[in-house]
Amino acid sequence: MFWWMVTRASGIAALMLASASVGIGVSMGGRFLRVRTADLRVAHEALSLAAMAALAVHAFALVVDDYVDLGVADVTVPFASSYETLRVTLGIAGGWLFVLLGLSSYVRHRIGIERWKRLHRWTMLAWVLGIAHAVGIGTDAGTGWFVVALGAVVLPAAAMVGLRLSGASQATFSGR
Amino acid sequence: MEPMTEQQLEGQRRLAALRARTRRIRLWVTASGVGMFLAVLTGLMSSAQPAATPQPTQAAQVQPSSSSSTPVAPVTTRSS
Repeated sequence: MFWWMVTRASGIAALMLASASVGIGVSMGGRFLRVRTADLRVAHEALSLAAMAALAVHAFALVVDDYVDLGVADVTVPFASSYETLRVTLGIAGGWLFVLLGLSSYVRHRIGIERWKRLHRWTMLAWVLGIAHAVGIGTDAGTGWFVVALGAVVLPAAAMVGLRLSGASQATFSGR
Repeated sequence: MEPMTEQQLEGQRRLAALRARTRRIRLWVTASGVGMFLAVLTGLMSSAQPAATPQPTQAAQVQPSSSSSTPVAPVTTRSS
């Protein structure tokens, strides 16, 4: 029971932290917020790392929880789990994508800055996969508090993404 | 060793301030993340209903005989 609760709590925390990270990351590029870029960058990195830690706890709790009977491969390899294969795979794929694209920031000078920027944008796909996983398979997906809590971070981040995709920037809003 | 110029001292002060600011942001984010996790966990555990807990095995009930006044505890078997 305890590990099942840890699984749910860590999954929710991971999604909320990732959503906040995506929102800040997108706002940095579009310069939507009148906040020092250096501060945003630090917050973006810290939120991403915290989300990765929560993902690790989420996977660990699933493996040690003796009720659901999932092995390491079931939570790390896409399509390996026989339980809700597609929905679990969405989470696994999103998780790996998030971790790899996030950590690629530390080797961006080796990858090349422009190439890294193009790669890093795919983190948004990882985030969307995580949302689909949570909504599709999350125990708490249908509860009011989950919808409210998730909406509080997902909607602003989604709005930022929408603004970036539409080509808007702070210059647009300031009339310059 | 030559003494540092005012410009160098100012640069070091700014760097120290930036590092302190970075540490504060990281600490704030980490504390928020841990706090959020613990809040959700506490909420889930406090609202957990015993009837909602899925039981992996069925409890085997032993009915006491009519002459016995001693209650018999149900025997639970767990699958391996």
